[in-house]
Parts: sequence; C-alpha cells; structure tokens
Amino acid sequence: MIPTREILWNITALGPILLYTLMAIPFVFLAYGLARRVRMWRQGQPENRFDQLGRRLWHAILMTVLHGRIVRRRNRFGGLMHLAIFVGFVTLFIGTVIVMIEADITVPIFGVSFYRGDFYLVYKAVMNLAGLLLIGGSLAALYRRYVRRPATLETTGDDVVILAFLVVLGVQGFAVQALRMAVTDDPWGPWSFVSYPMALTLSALPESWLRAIHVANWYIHFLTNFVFLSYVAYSKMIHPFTSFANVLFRRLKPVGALDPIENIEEAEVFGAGKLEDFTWAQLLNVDACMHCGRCLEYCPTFSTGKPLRPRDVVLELAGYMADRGGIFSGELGQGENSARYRWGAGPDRALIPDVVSPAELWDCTTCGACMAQCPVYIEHVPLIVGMRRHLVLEQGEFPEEVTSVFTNLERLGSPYQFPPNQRAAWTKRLDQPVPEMAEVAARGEEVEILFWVGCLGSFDSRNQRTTVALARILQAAGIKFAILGKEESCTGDPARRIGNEYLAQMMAMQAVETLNTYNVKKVVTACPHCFNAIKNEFPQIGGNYEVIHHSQLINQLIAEGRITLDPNSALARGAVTYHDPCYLGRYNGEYDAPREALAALPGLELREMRRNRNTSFCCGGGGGRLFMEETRGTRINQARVREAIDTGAELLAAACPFCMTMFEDGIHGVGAEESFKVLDIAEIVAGSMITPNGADGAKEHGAAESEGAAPESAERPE
Amino acid sequence: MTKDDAMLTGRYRIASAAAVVLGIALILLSELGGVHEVRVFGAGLISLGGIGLGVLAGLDQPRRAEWLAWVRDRRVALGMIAALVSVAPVVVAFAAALVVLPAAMGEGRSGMALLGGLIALLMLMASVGCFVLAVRAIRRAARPVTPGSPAEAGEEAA
Amino acid sequence: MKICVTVKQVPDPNLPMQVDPATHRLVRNPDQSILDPADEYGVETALRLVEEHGGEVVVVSMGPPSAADALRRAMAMGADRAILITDEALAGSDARATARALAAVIRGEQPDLVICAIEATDAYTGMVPGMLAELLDLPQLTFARQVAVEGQTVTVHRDIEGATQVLRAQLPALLTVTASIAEPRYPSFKGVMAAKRKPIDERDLASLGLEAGAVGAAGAAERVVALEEVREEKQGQMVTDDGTGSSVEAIVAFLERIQVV
Ligand SMILES: Cc1cc2nc3c(=O)[nH]c(=O)nc-3n(C[C@H](O)[C@H](O)[C@H](O)COP(=O)(O)OP(=O)(O)OC[C@H]3O[C@@H](n4cnc5c(N)ncnc54)[C@H](O)[C@@H]3O)c2cc1C
Ligand code: SF4
Ligand code: SF4
Repeated sequence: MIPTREILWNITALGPILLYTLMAIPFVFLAYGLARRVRMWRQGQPENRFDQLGRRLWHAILMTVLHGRIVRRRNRFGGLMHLAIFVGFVTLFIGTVIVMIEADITVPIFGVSFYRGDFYLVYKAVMNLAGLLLIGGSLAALYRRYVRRPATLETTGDDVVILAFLVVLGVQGFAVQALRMAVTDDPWGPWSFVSYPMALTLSALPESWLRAIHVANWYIHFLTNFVFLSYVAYSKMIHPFTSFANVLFRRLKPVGALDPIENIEEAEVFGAGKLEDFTWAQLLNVDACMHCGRCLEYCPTFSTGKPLRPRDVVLELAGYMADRGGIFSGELGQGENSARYRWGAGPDRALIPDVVSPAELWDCTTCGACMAQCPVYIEHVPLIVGMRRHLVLEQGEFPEEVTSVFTNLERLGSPYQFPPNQRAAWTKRLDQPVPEMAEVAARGEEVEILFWVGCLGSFDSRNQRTTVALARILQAAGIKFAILGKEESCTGDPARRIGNEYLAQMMAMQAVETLNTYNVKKVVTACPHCFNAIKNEFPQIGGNYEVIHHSQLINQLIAEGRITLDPNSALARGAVTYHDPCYLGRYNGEYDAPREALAALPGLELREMRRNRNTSFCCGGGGGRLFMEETRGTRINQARVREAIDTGAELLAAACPFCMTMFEDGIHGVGAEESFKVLDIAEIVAGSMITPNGADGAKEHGAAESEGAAPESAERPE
Repeated sequence: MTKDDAMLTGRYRIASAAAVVLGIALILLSELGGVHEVRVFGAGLISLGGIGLGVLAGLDQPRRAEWLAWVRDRRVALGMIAALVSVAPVVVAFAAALVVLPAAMGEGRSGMALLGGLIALLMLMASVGCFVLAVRAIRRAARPVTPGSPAEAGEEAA
Repeated sequence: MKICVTVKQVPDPNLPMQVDPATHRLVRNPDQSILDPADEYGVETALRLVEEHGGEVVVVSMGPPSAADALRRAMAMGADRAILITDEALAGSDARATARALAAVIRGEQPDLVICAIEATDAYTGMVPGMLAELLDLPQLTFARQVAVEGQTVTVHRDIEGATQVLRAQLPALLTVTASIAEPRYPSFKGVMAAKRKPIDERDLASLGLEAGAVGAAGAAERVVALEEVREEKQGQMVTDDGTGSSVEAIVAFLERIQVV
C-alpha cells in the first residue's frame, strides 16, 4: 500500500463549497486593510526608494525571511522564539498550498498525484514538526509576555489575541489529524509523530463519535483560519507585509546623514507639522512597527525615565495615521478603532503637541540606538528631527537655552560666545607652532592633512587639552598638517539635529566653501560629530573629502611605528574602559581603532561596559542635547558614568568632545572625582609618548593637567 | 478623484463582484456537478475578486458604514463568541481522549496511548489557557481610551 | 495700538572692536554688524503687547543702508514694517542729531507707544531716548522691567535702589526697557522668509524736512576728541600649592594687600 491519505476525508461536498466560497471574506478584509494603508502612505511626500532594486530585494529577504536582524547575538530568546513561530507558520501554510495543488490542480486536471509515497511520509513529519514549532514558539512568547516581562515589552490585547490564535490554530491542526487517524488507522501513522499517539488514545472512542468530532474540528479549523486572516490587517499581524515593504524600501543612504530640506529658500513646508509632511517611506516606516520594544533597550531617554520612548513615538504616529485613514471602521472620527493603537484618540488632533509632545521631541539625543536595534529598519531620528524642524523653522519653538546657540552660530560660527579669532588660541600651549591654512596657501605649500579642530576642541577648555594632545601626536609623528584657525566654523551638526535646517545648511556651506578654497583632500578630527557631518553630510553640498577620526589616525601611527609609546607610561596604567561615541560607532561603524590604540599600551587593561559597541549607551550630549537643560527623568551622563565605574576601571577613555563634557559633568554629578577620571584617547596616547627630545608626555597630559589624576600615576617615580 | 477615475473604479468593482459570483458558481459546479477540474478556477476567481473588492474599497475615501459600526459596537461580544467557538471542538476532542485514556491503555500499546493522553492533556491546557488569556485581552481592549497627553500615557506603563 | 520701536545696528559686541584712529569712529563692517541685542528686548516687548492688544509694530532706525539687515531681523521676529533713515548727510550724527532724525519720523507715525533700549551697545550714551521724548513731548518711563497697557494707560515696573517703583502714564508715551523685560524670541525660518517680503520705507533728509545743518557731523553738538584703547591688565599671579595648603595663605595675603578682605 502506498502511503497517502484521502483529502477531504469525512467531509461532504458542503465542506469545499463553504471553504472556497467563504475564502472571499479574508481576502476582502486583508486587501482592504492593506489598501487603506497604502492610501495613507501615498499622501506622504515623494521620495525615490526604487533604486537598486536587486540589492533591496535581497536585503529584504535576508532581514525578514532569513531573520537577519531578528535573531540577535544578545537577547537570543526573543529572536529564536520568533523564528520558531515564523518557520512553523510558513511551513504549515506551504503545506496547505501543497495539499491544494494536489487536490485542486494536479489530480482533477492532470490526473497526477504526488501526495503519496516517501514525499507524503516526509511531508507528514515536517508538518508535525512545524506544528510543534508554531505552538511552542507562541507559548514561549506568552511566557515572555506574562512571566519574563522585559521592561521594553508592553502587552496589548492584540498581542495576546494573536498568540492565542496561533496556538489554537496549531492545536486544531493536530486534533483534526489525530481524529482522522483514529478512524483510518494508517500503518504509516507514526510519521505524524505528534498526532499518532493521540490517535491511538482516541481510537478507543466509537467511530461515529470520532467522525462527528472530526467534522466539527475541520470546519472550525478553517473558519478560525479565516477569522485570523481577516483580523491580520487590523492588528500588528500586518507586520509581515509592512515590515517586508519597509525593509525593501528602506533608506540606503548613510544613517549618519540626515536628508536636507532641498531648495530651502523656495520650500513652502519646513519639517513635519502634519502627517502628510513626512515622506511616503516615513509613513510606511511607522506602519511597519510591531512594537517589539527593541528600540527601547539602549535608548537613553527610556532608560532614564524621560517621556520619549522611540517605540511610542512610532506608535503614536501609526495610531494617528490609522485614525486619519479610517482603518478598521472605515469611518472618520472614531478613536477606539483598534486594540493596537492605545493612543488612537481620533483624527482631529494636531500632530504636535497632541500626537507627539514637544517634550518627547526635545529629549532625543539622536544617538541612533533605536535605529540600530529596530529589526525592520524604522528610522526614528529622521522622524524626530523632521518634527523638530517644524517646531524650529515654522513655529520658532524650542528650549530657551538653544536661542543663544543659534545666534552664536549665526554671528560667530560656533555655538559658543567666542570670537572666531580665538579659535587657534590653544596653539600657544605648544612648543612648535601650528600653521594655519591661509599661511600655508600663501606660501604656496601643501599639507598632508587638515586638522579640523571643531568648536568644542577650540573653545571648551577641557576639550582644548585633547586638541593640544592630538597636535602633539601629529607633530611627534612628523605629519605635515595645518588648521583653519579663525576661518574654521561649525559644520552645522548641532543646528541640523536641533532642527534648524536653514542655519545648518548655511554653516555647512560656509565650511565646505572654506575647505574647497584650500583644495583640502584629507581631514582629521577629534570630534565624531564633525567627522560624521564632513563624511556623510558635506557630500550633499559638494564637499568630498577623505575624513578620518583621530582615533583611527592615532592607531595607524602607532601601528606604523611613527610614534613610540612608553610601555611603562605612568598615565596608562590599570583598568580602563572605553565608551563608544554614537557618531563614531553606531553611525560610522568604527569600534576597533580606539580599542586597538588602547591595547597598544601594555599597562592598560581594557574592561568593556555591559553596553558597548553598537549597543553603546549614549553620553546624553548628542542631537544638541549638550546645549539644553536635562529637566526630565534622571541624568543620562551619570547613568553612563556609573556603568563605567562598575567595570572596576579607574579611567574612562573617551573619543568625543561631547562625551568628554558630559562625562566630566557626570563624574562630578556622582561624586567620583577622587577615584575616577575621563581622558581622551589622544590625551592617553600623547601622555604616554616618548618624544624624540626625550620629554615624557605624562606631565603635560592627564597627570598634571587633569583635575582628577590618579595619585599612583602622579607619584610613580620616573 | 476625477470623474474618469470614479467610472473606472466602478467598473473594476463590478468586475470583482462578478468574479466572486462566477467563482462561486464554478465551485458549485465542481462539488455538486462533480466537475472537479474547475475547482481551482473557482477558487482563483473568488480570491481575485475578493482582493479586488478589498483594494477598491481600501483606496477609496473613508466613509461611514452602518454595518461596521454595528460590528464595532458588539465587538467584545463577537470576540467572546468567536473565542468560544474556535476552542470548543478541540476541547471536546482532547477531553474525550482523556476520558477514554484508561480504555485505550487496556488495548495493548499502552505506552503510546499514555503518551497520546499526555499530549492531549498539554494541548488541552494550551487551548483553555489561550482561551482565558484571549477573553481577558478582548475585554481589556474594549476599555475606553483614557484621554491624556501621549507622553503621560507612555509614563504610566513602565 | 501702534508701537514704534527704535532699533540700532551695532558692530557685533562679541567680535573685537576696531576704531579708526583718524576719525575716532568705530569701524563698522556691515558683515559683522547686528541688530543691537539691547533693542531685541524692545522689539519683543512691542510684539507681546501687540499680540495681547492687537495693532502694529513699526521699527525705526537711522543708519547706513546696511542697517536694513537689522530692520529685517526685527521684522523676522515679527515687526510689521520698518522705516530706515539713511542719508550721506547724517553721517557723524551725535545723540541729539540722532534724536532729531528719529523724532521727525516718529512724529509722522503718531504711535501710541515708543520703545527704546536703555542704551545702545556700541556708543552707550543712553541719551537718545530722553531727547526723543523731549522732542516728541511724550512722558518717558525709563528702565522698565515689566510693562502693561490697559485702555489708555501704560504701567511699568522699574527697579530702584532697594525697591520697585510702579509708574503709570497716559498714552502716547515713551519707554526704555531693560533686559529683564522679556526673553527675545529667535525668529523662525518662516519669519525670516516673511521678513524678506515686508516693506522697508527708506527716508532721506529732504523727506524728513530737516535741515542739513541740524544733523550729521555738522549738527553735532559734541565731538569725540580722543579715543584710547584700554590696555590689557597685567597677567594674574599664579599661586602653586606644594600640597601643604600653603597656597591658601598666599591667596589670603594677596587679597589683604589689595584690600579686598
Ligand atoms: C561726532 C559723532 C559722530 C558719530 N558718528 C556715528 C556714526 O557714524 N555712526 C553711528 O552709528 N554712530 C555715530 N555716533 C554715535 C551716534 O550717532 C549716537 O551717539 C547714537 O546714535 C546715539 O547714541 P547711542 O548710540 O549711545 O545711543 P543711546 O542713547 O545709548 O541709545 C539708546 C537707544 O536709542 C535708540 N537709538 C540710538 N541710536 C539710534 C539710531 N541710530 N537709530 C535708531 N535708534 C537709535 C536705540 O533704541 C538705542 O538702544 C557719533 C557720535 C558723535 C558724537
Ligand atoms: S536616538 Fe537615542 S535618544 Fe533618540 S529615541 Fe533613539 S535611542 Fe532614544
Ligand atoms: S520601532 Fe522597531 S524596534 Fe521599536 S518597537 Fe517598533 S519595530 Fe520594534
């Protein structure tokens, strides 16, 4: 006997009639819900996301079907659980399609049957396994929601209903199979390894009972499926569709570059004050969110109890869009449309402040931790900056402290109230002069590299020390470099991230003009914000340069032996921990150079913080936050400093002037000045350099200059 | 929407509805008339017609639909009924398996039958558990949305 | 309610000042000149009053044609229109001449309120408002840190030694406002764009009906006879601590010597 089974066993003609006729209903519901969303997305601004389709498609498959970002090295539980549900569900779906092909196409039309023999046996085993994965994964998900309850997860009715659906659908499948086998008693039954034992048990029932229960289960199983499919488009179960679309049409430009407002002088709308002001791809973005909460995991505002939770911003927008689009009810003016959108409070609201509050918008440090975690490539920062733009450019509303930043940038080219001619004041601390580009050009000479000092490095007294240290390193390595001096001005990074796009463009244009005047090719900077702007945003306005971060250059100089380090350096001793700056790490992928530079000092023992590399925890200073008061929640910088201290290190290595400022403040804030200090990579290296004339750099850097010098290092005999 | 668009949409809508009707006719022909060759075409027409109707309605302006309002007003009750109906048959099946477990164990292959009883028990627990959770969730989802700023709404649920 | 705010364009006080040794005048580089930050308080005050009571804010300035930038800034903040008094013959005006020119324009506008800063951030004479009030025959309420208008009366709060004085006057009147009156707004980009389309009415001497002899260098009653740079103070004294706390004594000794403590 060839193994197979009778399809539609125990089912009269009424079964397929109902099955196929009612099939129209889930299709109508699914298509309606999707089309409603598409209709809303189309109201967004135009944007080309149809380039590089091959790459897009492959990436979308990799990230969704193949779970590229869903299963993570950290927090494996959630990812594997999702994988189980996904594989189970998809396999069962394909299995159903296979049965349909057999029953509706190959047998009736071509008279060929393939649903038999070895194929059938393997099919049965695979389907049983898939059923187990589906049920097991869904139960694991319920366990996670009800027992483990991670703080980043909020459980709505929708989440539970979906999981209950999945479990019940899987269980129904096994029940139908077991009931049938209890009657037919197939000799190859054991291949259905889950149903088979149940079939044996059930076979003790009279056949008429079995047949009756089987019929009931068969009908209810397909009806449950139809109800589930009809529900999909009005719940987060829409995510397989929206997520795939979102990854497919994701932004391929560097994450570090914000899209400019093109032609700002002629533009009529500045930033997003209404839903329709976002681009269509951004509107698709918010519909792709399935509230997994991963964006909260390393979000500094969420972790310090501030109103801003990136997930909630996305969902607030999604709920508002559902309200405006009439999803579910097909009716405007209904608030409580769907279980998914807790904030669906009706379409007649203002985007800001009713849907998203200004407090949420202003608290963001633009650290990008949300975007780095989001499995479906939702880009929170452009959404937030878009709304900030509206507040700044259209409403003239922003935290009061920022006014002086704007006016200083406008008038003095830096966020600080210092005249440009003092930009190079720090050079007086060096023995050798640092040439300015204007002089170099006047002499008709060229330099290897331009040292872009940045505003903090130029004017902030703490960061001037980093600047001096870096200049010493460059001089010691014999690199021919110059600075722009009074001609340098802000790259526009803070203004842009605060939302003052007009000012930011002016600043960037001025900087590019200066750089192009001197035909600059290569730039080094100690500021990741400048680095990011020059590398990723200047090309938008015709500034193309090779930019390297000072940690990369320092690392390279050490590797090439162009600077010599003292292995017994007094400064570089003991345990050190390194903080990844957001704009160097997450935004530009540089995690190793600073670590390698530190590793070149044998006296240092690098200890990693729990949150490191692309899961680094922001210092709290980005996105213009450095210039704003932190009025809500607890202090971000102190949270990070505590984490650094918890590693047991006495030294925190920084690679960013914003981080430096935040950490100096944070160390004072937690009262650890005596036992803990922060130094820039450049300071540590410069302070450990053996310079040609024999001077030990430690005196000038860190040990003598920093307030919190560790006593042992200062007292260690030379 | 321009007049032409409206006319086009109207035509598509008629075509979609016709596809569904024709599909149903083919299914009836297949199942009652025994012409199984047409079943797949019936199914295809019904699916396409359904998708067409859904898409056309979805791309249209939101409008007031009385029957949907009726559904929405009763969605808690409907949800409860749906939950009950969808788990009832499996509960009966697994409960029956447990009831006849002793008898089944008497018929030889008692180890397998015991295993079957155990699986049935687990599945029964999963079904009933999910039913309870779903009912709670449906009731919770029906609670009116508390007004308040989005930020505050985010704050309360830590 | 119509409010005239006098505003002056001054060299950015954050940038180093340059003085022409021959004329003893400030070198005014239009690129480095801004709306006097002191006048932003006046503009803000006027905007708030108009937001409350309705009406119009007119900003008035006397200066070179480049002073239009300062007026645009004030209009970007929200002022409705601007008048710029500019004429070669006005160069070298002193406070009296400036007041005469401003008065000629303001008289024509018939405002309910004239708002000035206490003193301009470049020349610091602080005389223009008083002279203006005199020429226009208006009551003047100076150093206001709080202002309210009710019907035809204006009430201001001003700080005097150890007390707050509340003054009231009938409109029309002239006010000078301090920095604590209101935080000036930062013009939104929308405002900047709108300001480009707002009118600036340029007036020359002839249209003001002033004689050339009454204004400019010719009409100046004062003359700057000398202008000397302030020499930089000697560098501070460094006290290094040898770890015994000796520095504290050294600092105390120093303070006693210069009779601070
Ligand atoms: C011989 C001489 C030559 C001078 N040459 C010049 C010159 O070439 N360029 C120049 O700018 N200054 C010049 N000054 C100074 C200047 O003309 C007046 O002193 C000045 O306009 C009034 O004094 P102040 O700036 O100290 O104003 P203050 O009395 O301190 O100003 C108080 C307020 O009055 C208003 N105000 C003052 N001046 C103006 C104005 N011009 N327009 C609108 N509102 C105003 C403002 O609201 C200001 O905040 C000269 C002065 C002298 C004596
Ligand atoms: S960018 Fe950083 S601070 Fe802003 S929402 Fe994302 S994780 Fe939070
Ligand atoms: S935005 Fe992304 S990471 Fe955040 S909850 Fe939504 S899907 Fe998850």
